[in-house]
Amino acid sequence: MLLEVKDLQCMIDGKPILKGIDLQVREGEVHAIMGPNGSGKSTFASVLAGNPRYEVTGGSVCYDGKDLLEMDIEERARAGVFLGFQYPVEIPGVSMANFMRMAVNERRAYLGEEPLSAGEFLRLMREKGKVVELDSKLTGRSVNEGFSGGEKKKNEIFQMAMLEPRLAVLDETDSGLDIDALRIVAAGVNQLRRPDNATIVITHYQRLLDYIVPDFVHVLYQGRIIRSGDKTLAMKLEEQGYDWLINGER
Amino acid sequence: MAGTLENRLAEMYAAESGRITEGWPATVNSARREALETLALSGIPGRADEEYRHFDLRAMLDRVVALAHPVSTQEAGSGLIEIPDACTVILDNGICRNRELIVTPGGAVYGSLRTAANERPETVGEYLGSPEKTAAVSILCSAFARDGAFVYVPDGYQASTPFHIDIRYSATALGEACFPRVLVMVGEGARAEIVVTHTDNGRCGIVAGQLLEGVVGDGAILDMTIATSMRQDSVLVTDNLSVQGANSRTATTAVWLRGGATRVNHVTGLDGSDAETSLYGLYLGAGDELCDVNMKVMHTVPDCRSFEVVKGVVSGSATGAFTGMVYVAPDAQRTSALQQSRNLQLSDTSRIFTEPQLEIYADDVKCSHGATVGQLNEEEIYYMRQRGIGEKEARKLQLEGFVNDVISHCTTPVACESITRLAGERIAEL
Repeated sequence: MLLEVKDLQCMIDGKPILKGIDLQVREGEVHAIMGPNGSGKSTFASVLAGNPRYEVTGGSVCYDGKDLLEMDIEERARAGVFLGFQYPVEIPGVSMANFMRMAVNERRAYLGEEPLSAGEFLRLMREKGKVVELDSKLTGRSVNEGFSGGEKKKNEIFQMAMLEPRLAVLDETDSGLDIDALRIVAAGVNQLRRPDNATIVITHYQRLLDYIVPDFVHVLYQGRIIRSGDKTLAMKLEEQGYDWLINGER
Repeated sequence: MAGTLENRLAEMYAAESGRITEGWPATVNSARREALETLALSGIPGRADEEYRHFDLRAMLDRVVALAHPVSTQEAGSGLIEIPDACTVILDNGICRNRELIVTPGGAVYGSLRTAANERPETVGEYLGSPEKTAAVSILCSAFARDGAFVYVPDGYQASTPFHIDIRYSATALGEACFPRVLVMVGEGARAEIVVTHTDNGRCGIVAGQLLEGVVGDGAILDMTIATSMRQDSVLVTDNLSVQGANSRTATTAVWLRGGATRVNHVTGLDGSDAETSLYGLYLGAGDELCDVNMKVMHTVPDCRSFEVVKGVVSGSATGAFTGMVYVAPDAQRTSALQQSRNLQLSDTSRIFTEPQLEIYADDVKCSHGATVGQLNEEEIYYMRQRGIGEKEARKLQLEGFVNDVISHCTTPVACESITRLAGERIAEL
């Protein structure tokens, strides 16, 4: 078991958001988490990443045999937890290359590998840039600065390719993407699928799941997973919306 | 008692006048007396004066008891940065190390200002004897300068190597002062790169005043880099005054890395149409340091452009102040001016004062100004940490990003590299 979430609860500013989430992710699996606005999808992703804005009030998260909630943000990242941000942050003055080189070498240090030389690193950047057809000019700029919405999302997948995480959590990576960019991003994610890693795709729309085919689909509503199934659940949601589930729940 | 400081400075001048005036033409020395008289009349500004409310110049000068003596090369220590291929003028406690002027194959001249005053009075006389100076620092330098640096680039000459004015201070006792002058003249259609550095290698902090005058001819291009790194117990006050002719362009990158108390008056007069000036400034303050940056751009004729971004980072109980003024004269139509002050406060006890101002008397202009004071961006730090970069490193990266954004405008590659490195070391202390 790569990730085991048990009865996870959290608050922000004293307001409960997650009210007991249970989820099990094995290596090689792709899980999709869907749900209406405000159901707690992004919060769940943030809590896994360790965003300090959220206060965990109960439950446990076991990642690769370790207590994830006890780990610092950067420790989680080094151990292979990657969050693809819904709104990637611009960091003016910090070069993409410098930033990525530090990140990659931190991950390598965790894995007991030697840091990459400048030459090796540049080769890796070029190679992985192809995964998402990222314009090589962009890697010469400051992190996300002046990137279009689509480029920012591609850049997230590029970073994922560079870091080779064991658990990638993609928070609405499809939002704000046109169909071509969506295809490129999804193809990138599919290329990075391996038997020893896993992906949690958080999305609003079934559309993304045409390209990234999930093994499991979970519906999050009011801070709880109210239904889990296979990809046919996503299709049913696309046709019928969430009402039948929500009303059934009440 | 009012006037005490001015009297004491006049007494100090009288006591040292032999050394001060030695080797200068009579015209320059007579201007010194005028300067002292002006000083006695106008007085040295202090906290009670609007322009110096954050920087008590009176109090800072109060500790001055004598002029710094010339020191041995060894005592002068090394310069802030080294630019191997540059045409370098070294000032040790305000005295030019080489007496002779050097003339490059292209006709550029550089070296001691005192020698230039003697050998090239037709070129420099007008500026050295100028009685019009009203600013306190300029007046002090007019009166007390024992020497200075001179750079002259003739009309049409495209200088390919940078000039480095390497100013080193070395006080042997508390209360020593030094008032060097720098005169930079870039002829019509000429181009030059000038790097000015100040560093303080003494046993105790100096009180230094510097007057830099830039005369930029029609169609000339001047790229200037200024970097200062002074001791915690030092005072550095600088007047940088430039006038620009038509179609000229100046770009200044200024980095005030450290220093007990630093005051900068950066004044640019756009006197010919289609002239352009930019200033990228950065100050870094820690402990109880004070850095007070004042800049003025005078748009006196139509169709000129000015652009200033001054950034500050303060930690500990340091204070940063920025006062900007863009003046647009009634006839200066189609002026384009932008002025920005951006500041980061790293501690609760540090302080930032920022006051960008516009004074516009023309009606067809495009002027804007802005000021921000903030903390490090936690979202950016979270993002970097999520990629595995430690919190401390993430903060450092972010600060480097903030400051490199300014330093990267430095057009002299060797200087840019050195200043980036020095700023990196400095950031680690903030």
